[in-house]
Amino acid sequence: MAQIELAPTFREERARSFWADLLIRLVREKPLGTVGGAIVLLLLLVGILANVLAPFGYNETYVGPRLAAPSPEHLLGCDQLGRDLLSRIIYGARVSTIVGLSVAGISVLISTFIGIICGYIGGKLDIIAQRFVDAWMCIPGLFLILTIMAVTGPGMVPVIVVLGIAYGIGQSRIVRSAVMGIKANTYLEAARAVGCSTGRILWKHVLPNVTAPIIVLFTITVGGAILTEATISFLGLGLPPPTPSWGGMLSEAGRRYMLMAPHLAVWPGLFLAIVVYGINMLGDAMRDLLDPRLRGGLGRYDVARKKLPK
Amino acid sequence: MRAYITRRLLLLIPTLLIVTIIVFCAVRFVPGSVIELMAAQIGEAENMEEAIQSIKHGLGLDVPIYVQYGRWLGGILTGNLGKSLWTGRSIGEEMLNRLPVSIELGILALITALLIALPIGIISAIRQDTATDYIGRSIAIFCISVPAFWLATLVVVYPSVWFGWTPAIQYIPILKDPVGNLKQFIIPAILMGMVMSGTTMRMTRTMMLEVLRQDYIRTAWAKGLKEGVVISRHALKNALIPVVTIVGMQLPILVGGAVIIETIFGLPGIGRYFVDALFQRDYPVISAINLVIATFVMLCNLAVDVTYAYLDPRVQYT
Amino acid sequence: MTRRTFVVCLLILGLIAGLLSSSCAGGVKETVTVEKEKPAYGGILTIAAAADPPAFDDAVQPHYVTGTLKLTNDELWTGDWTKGIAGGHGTKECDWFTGGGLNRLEHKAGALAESWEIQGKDTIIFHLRKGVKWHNKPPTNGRELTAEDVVFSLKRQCTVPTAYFKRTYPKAAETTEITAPDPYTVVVKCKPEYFGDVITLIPDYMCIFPKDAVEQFGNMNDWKNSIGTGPFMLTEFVPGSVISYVRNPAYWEKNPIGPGKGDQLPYLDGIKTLIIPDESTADAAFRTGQLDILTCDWERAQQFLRMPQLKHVRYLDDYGQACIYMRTDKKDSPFADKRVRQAMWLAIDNKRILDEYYGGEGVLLKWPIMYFKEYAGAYVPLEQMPKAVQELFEYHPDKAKQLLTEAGYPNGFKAKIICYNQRAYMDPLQMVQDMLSKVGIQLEIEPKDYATFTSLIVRRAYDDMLFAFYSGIGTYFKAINYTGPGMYNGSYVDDPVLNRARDQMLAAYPDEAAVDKIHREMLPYLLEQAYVLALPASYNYRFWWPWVKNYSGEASVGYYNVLNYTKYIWIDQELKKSMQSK
Repeated sequence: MAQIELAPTFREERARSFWADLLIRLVREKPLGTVGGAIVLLLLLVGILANVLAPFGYNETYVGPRLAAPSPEHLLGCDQLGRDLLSRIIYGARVSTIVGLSVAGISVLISTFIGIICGYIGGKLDIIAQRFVDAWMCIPGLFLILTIMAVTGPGMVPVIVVLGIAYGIGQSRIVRSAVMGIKANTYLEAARAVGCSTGRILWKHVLPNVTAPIIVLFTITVGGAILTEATISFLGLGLPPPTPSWGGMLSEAGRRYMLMAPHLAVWPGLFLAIVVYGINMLGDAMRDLLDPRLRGGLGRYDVARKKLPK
Repeated sequence: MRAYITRRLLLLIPTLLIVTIIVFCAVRFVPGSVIELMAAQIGEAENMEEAIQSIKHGLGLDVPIYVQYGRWLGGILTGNLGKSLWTGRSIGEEMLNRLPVSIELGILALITALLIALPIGIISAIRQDTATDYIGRSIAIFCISVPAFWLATLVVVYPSVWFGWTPAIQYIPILKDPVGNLKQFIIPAILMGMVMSGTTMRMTRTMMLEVLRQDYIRTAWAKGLKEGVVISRHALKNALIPVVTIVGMQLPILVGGAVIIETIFGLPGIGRYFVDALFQRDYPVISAINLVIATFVMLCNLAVDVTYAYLDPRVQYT
Repeated sequence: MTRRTFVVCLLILGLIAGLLSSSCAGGVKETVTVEKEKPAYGGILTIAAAADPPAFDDAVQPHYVTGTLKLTNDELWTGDWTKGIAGGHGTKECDWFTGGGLNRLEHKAGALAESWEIQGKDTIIFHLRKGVKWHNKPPTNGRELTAEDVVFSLKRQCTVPTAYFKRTYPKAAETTEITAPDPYTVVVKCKPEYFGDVITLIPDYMCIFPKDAVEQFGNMNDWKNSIGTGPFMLTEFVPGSVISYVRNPAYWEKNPIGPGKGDQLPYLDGIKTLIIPDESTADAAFRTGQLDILTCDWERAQQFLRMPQLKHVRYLDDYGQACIYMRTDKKDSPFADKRVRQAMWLAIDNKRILDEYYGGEGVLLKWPIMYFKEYAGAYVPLEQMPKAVQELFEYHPDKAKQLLTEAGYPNGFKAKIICYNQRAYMDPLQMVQDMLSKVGIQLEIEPKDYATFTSLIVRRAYDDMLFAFYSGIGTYFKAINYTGPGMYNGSYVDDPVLNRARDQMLAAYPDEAAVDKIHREMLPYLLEQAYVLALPASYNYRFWWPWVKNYSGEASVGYYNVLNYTKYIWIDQELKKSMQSK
């Protein structure tokens, strides 16, 4: 007589913690995202431990010959003031991290706040608030930076504040459009019917469903802020020297000595590209994993079609 | 819908008024006024105080600020954008010469950006987590990871050393010589487009991914429709709303110009005009360009909002 | 016209050894080609400018910002080309390399004025050249220039509110009388105390415009109305892009010297100025032959020094930054004490800045004047300065500490220094900050954007220290860099010895030899007082392709006559074609 084995219909799994689950899924399913995550982690570590890692100070002049090529004492060479380039790049990681994260943080806070409220509540509030957003977007960013910089003097705080607010208000329209896209959904109507307060609806029901574009915006902004800082330092409005920002190094010394000392431009540019790339890839992967609307199937219909009987 | 559009157009006016007043006043209170900049040019003046007063009067800046604004507004309403404080040339005429440059650059850049962003975004979404996805996204992200001025300088400097060639410096108007003009614009446009494509590509991919998991897409598959039809007729339209927003946000490039590209490639566009005016505190030019950009931005935003309603019937405007 | 042979000689012109201090890295070498072939007409010279010219009328904006006027209009005087290098045939008393501030009376030649008499210190009589024709454009249509036009133009400068002369020297403008007793004579009468200003500005600074044109158009600021008697006519101006000139076929001047002596000038068919705001783009354009001449600083020059087919000249320009000013007028501040000032200078290792930051390509002694051939008489080289002054340019931190202790600052002090937020300013300042911190002086650097920075200078409203520029050499007899209430006296110096020296120089002018003597005697005292901490100055370079002939690197022949060398040079078009096709 054969033994009938009952296959359990329901397998009990030990529930993993949310973050552990995220991490494991990240490594298992998203190789690009893992690479991105590693890069970001490295960036944060270097930024925090800059004092320990850098062989010289970022502003110690003439520790090596002017525009020296890479050598054993100065692994990446020296810049036009004889400062060790490796040290400046390590400290630059800290600067870029601070600028990128601060700007992105401020901008996400502002854009989410404005976007969700305006998008959900709509009506008169939306119209008035959007006029302010419009008016703000009409003021050219360069004008703002120049004005504030002329009043406060060049520095990191004015740059961060101006960029953060500018990005934030501009991106509020994207958040708002995403909110408007889900406004007609039934679950919102249900929540209202049950008697949820508006605040609770916004926090519990609207926000998680627009997290996807917000995460993308955050990661875009981190990279974008670092690049924008590079761009405005081309015009002389960025972080003042001797702050070792990668963008600043690229735009000033990098361009001027492109033929005489290419290492001055290659290294900051390379690190900038890698870091922005990593941030963006990580952001994509996080969004893929966290978006509730992406649960259930990968939507990969080419794979599905292969499984169909011919 | 028509009522909505009319209302928005009417609301344009008070918003423009507020924006222009803010910029008008702010620029005059920024440290480093145009009077002092002009006075620095005659630093050897015997009596600097008197010279400063003479400059102030000559520029029309010795009247109260509301009188200055009134005069400026009066000029605008009669179609006169004013005269530059430094060159005395008509701003309107200058803008008519410079706008075509910026617009042409902007349009070519946008087309390049969309040509790069949309296909890569869509393919990355429908072939998620395959090699195609990784390669496509990597290319797009690398495009936006390197600053535009860096790529531009590379393109200008290294060919001059290796091949003895550098892009044409002198601007050729499109009517005079269309081929030469396009040859001059193609490189800056591609560079700008590459930089602009990144954001659009990622947003396209994100929204496509979400849309592809919707029930109506599953129904379309179940019905046996080909992949191409599913994507184009059902998925795209719904994914495009935030993408339209992003493209709409990038449209002001057409009039804001791209200062860095214009500076490096020597194109006389609005971007350079504005930045030069900012640094020289040329108040009328700043106000005039501000007005033009403001109007354009708000019209773009209106167009984007209207496009939402067209793309997504669930979006209603009262 | 074909040329098959050319002889190229390289002459190393050693400037008189004693005049060059050992601080100049190596002496100044010049590549001088002695032109032997006959000149050729034709060709278009392409040069670069960094920005648009903001004005086309020197009664609307100061003269030196109007980049085109020197080509389209003439003045009464100009610089004497034959006293320069002039393709190897000139007397080489002058170089004419710097951007414009050269104003020696002995180096002037007549342009619209054929001859002149200076009577005492209140009258100048100009005898105009006959047969000078205005450009063939309405309303002048090629008519002859008369004294009426000259008097009208000069009077404009004295009366129009925006005119440079009226705004900058209002008292001189009011009291100067300009008359024309006959159609070819102009008499200028002024008060003796303003004679220096009048003779500097009226003959070689004010452009002559046609009376009927100015009356018809109001002012000449619209480039389309440009009319003058100059060698070139303005045909095109695309803002942000290009300025084009074409030859004036009826120009009055003939080549004064060399193989082309007596030829109708100019040789060039036209000039094109490309407006290129970005340095790298300009470098790339020059490297590929799209530009014929390029001026750059010593760093950019390194890439071109490796190209043996180019010609170049190395020179010092007469404007400059890199001066640290201090509030010497604040009685309670440390800067009022000479010992503190000297201590600061002693603590700055100028030689190290020169060697390390400027790669040795510069000079130590540059304030108030650097060495120029044209002003050699007013210059005292560093080796001839007294020991106390020479010491200041050396590095003595221990003596600095000792002086500080004597002055009552044994532990140093704190000071704020304002500077322009740009690498070229910030980098040397950081080295200075480093060096001063070693003697206990803590500098807090406050970078400002350009407009704010300039306004602080104009309003003379800085607290402690300022890192800025100084005025050029042309008016050295007025001593505006260290006397008087003007903007260029950045350190608020009010020293009776210096004021007396200035008054003596003004009284002696126009006897330039006497002025030179007074200036030379005053220089050691001025430097020893250390009112201004002068940092080293770097060289500039000018490069040009060998198809530009009769050219030795000149920039301005005369006082701010930028670009007027173009009337004497020509282009070897075949050489250009053959070099560019390689």
